[in-house]
Order: sequence, then structure tokens, then C-alpha cells
Amino acid sequence: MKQIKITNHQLYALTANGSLGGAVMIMASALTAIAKQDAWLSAFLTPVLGLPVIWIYWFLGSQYPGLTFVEITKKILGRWIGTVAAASYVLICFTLAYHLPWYISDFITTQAMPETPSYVISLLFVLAVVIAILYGIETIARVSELYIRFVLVMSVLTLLLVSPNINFENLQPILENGIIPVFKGSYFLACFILFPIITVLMIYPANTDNVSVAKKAIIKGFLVSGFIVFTSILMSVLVLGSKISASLQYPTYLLAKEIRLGIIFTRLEFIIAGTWIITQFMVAVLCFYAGLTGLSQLVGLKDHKRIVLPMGLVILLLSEIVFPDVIYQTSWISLVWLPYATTHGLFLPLLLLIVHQIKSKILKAI
Amino acid sequence: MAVLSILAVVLFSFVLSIVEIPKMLKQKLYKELVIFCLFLMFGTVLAVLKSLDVKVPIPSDLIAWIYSPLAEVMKSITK
Repeated sequence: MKQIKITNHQLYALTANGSLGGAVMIMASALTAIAKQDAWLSAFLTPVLGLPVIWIYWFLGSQYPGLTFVEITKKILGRWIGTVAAASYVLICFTLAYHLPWYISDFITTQAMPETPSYVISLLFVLAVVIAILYGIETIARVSELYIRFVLVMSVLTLLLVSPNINFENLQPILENGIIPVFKGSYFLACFILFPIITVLMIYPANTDNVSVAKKAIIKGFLVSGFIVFTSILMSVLVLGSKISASLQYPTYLLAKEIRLGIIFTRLEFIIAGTWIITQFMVAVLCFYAGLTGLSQLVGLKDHKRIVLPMGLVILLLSEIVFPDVIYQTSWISLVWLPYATTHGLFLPLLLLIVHQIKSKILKAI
Repeated sequence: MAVLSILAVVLFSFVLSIVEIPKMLKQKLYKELVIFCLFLMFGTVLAVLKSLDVKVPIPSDLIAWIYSPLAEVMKSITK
């Protein structure tokens, strides 16, 4: 199969979308629960501390141009261990892919359309994802380029419009409980905006031309999404205060409800909901694509598009049963998702990097 | 309602099989065929069980069980 190449700006858009993902809407709540009024500091630290991890992702890809992450894993760790590691990577991609329809249907049924059954919304969402995958990676990359501009403009606009409601006393006292909760919060945030970028590694070395220019694209994408997340969390703390933000499920949504500029600009909350749904869609497409291509390469399929439709059915049904309720979901996220994402987003690339360096040293010595 | 959703899923799987399987046989994509049938069967069975309100084991529970030794550490981080 001929490899389709994507441009660097498309790679940047995919990274930004993939990193932004679920974070904008739900993160402010969990983060303010951990770091209280210093949540904005954690949101500032995550992009800074995340740069080395992004560098590891880029370096791994740059050493094996033209290969995907599954092939890189197999090449570095050998056939058997590599297959096991790659299989668990494919599994986390699918796990993410069937989590996202749940978030969308939960959000729509609790905030906008309470009488619609959740599977109808999941069905529409999964249908859109399946159609996107059937169109192929080139279309996905192009549409992500289009979406990221829309998302950027809309989030900056809503956050600017809400700024008259700022109350700076919400930020005080700074560092009340010391620096430790800030670091805890930034680790928590990293599991949502940093480690999911690992799914981009199914696209980045395989479908890009120039790896050294791709470095800039990935870092820029990550920083842009980090900036949006930072501003949205800062605004949540400034406008709503940390106590209210922590008790809500979707603080940024309420934040947009606060916009009141005269009688013209009111109730803009569905703009921010729309941008959230768009980024969720892009993340779902990315994860589903990464899982599908990873699975095809793992078992040696020629064409991943053949198994999209049955996989879509499985994803739809799993998204219906994945979390029985919101309480289960919150405890699962904090107890299970954090180590799960860390294993695949941090430890697996780190292990690959170390084994790669040892291997290349030995090869040089011989 | 249960009958309707079961019928819809079975119809979907049936039509999909009729459309896709001959194509794959013609192109001799046997591995794809195996994976295709496996996932389609899995999905259909899951849909039928879900429509009949049978309690299906949750995949999240399995991942939670794998990472259960770390639960205490995580509790201290997220508090």
C-alpha cells in the first residue's frame, strides 16, 4: 500500500486536536479539586514539563522514518516482547476510542437533551467517526487543519468575552498548601493532554516526509493545546472560583453561560460545547485510526478499511457499557486511567528509548 | 423495544456480511475475513445481550483489576 504523506501544518493540527481532546471541558473540575486555587499553576507547568516527553516521542519517530509506532516497538523490543507491547498499545487506543462516545452522550444527555436516549447520540458520533476513517487519513488531516482554526478562534473569543466577570480574589492565597498539590495537579493534567499524543505516533513517522521539521509541528501543536487548556482553567478559577469549579462536572460550560455582554452576547455556552464536541470527534478519529492501523499491522492485514464497520459496532456497544454511572467514571479516571495512561504514554516510550540507545551503542562498538 | 433493536443489529450484520464477504473472498483477503467475522460476531452478541438487559462484564473493571496494586498510590495523588 502506498504511504500517504501529510504536511507539517496538518501534523500540527492533528497533534493539537489530539492533545486538546477531552481536556477543555472536564479538566478544570478535577484540577481545582486537587490543586484548589493554584490549578492554573499546574496547567502552566504541564506544557513546560511535558516538553521532554514530546521530545522522546519525536526522537523515537525520527530514528525510524517511514514506520509506525507498532512497527517501531516490534523492531526495538524484538518479535515477542514487541508484539505484546504493541498489542497493549493497540488496546489503549481502542479503550480511548470507546470512552469518547460515552463522554459525548453523557454531556448531551445531562446538559442539553435530557430526554434523548444516550445510544442515539453515541450512534451518531460513532457513525461520523466511522465515515471519517473510511475517507482515509488524508481527509482526516485536512479536516483537522480546518477544525483547529475554528476551535482556536472560538475558545479565545469565549474566554475573552467572559473576562468582565473576573474576580482576582479567587486566585488568592497563592500556594496555600505548598507546591506539592500543584505538581500533583500537573501530573493529572498530563495524563489527559500529554500522554494521549502517543496515538499521533501511528501517523507521525509513517506519514510525514521530513522528521526534523515535524519536531516543530508536534511541539507547536502541544503548546497550542496547552495554552488553550491553561487559559480555560485560569478563567474557570478567576470567574467561578475553585470551590464552584471543583463541584461541577463541566465547569467550562458554565463559564460560557456566564457571558453577559448587554443583551446581544448571552448564552454562548453551546459555542464552547461545539468546539469540545469537535475536538472530541478528532480525538476519537485519531484513536480509532491508530487502533485500527495498529491492529492491521499486528496481525498483518493489507487493508484496515475492511474491518472498520464491525469495529465501529463494537466501539458503539462498548461505549454503552463502559461506565455504569458518573461516580464509577470519576473514581475510575483517578484510580485507573492515570496509571494506565502513564504506562503507555511515558514508560513505554522511555523503555523503547533506553533499549534503542543500548542497541545502537552495541552496534557501534562492533 | 428489545426485539426491535435486536432485529436492527442482526439486519445490519447480515447486510454487511452479504456486501463485504464476497468482496474479500474475491480478493483473497482471508485474514481480514477472519478478523471481520470475529468482531462482527462479538458486536452482534454484545448488542443482543445489551438489548436483553443481561449484565455484561465491563471492560473497565478488567483494567481496574490490572492496576489495582497502584490504587493506594493514586488515591494519595488525587486527594
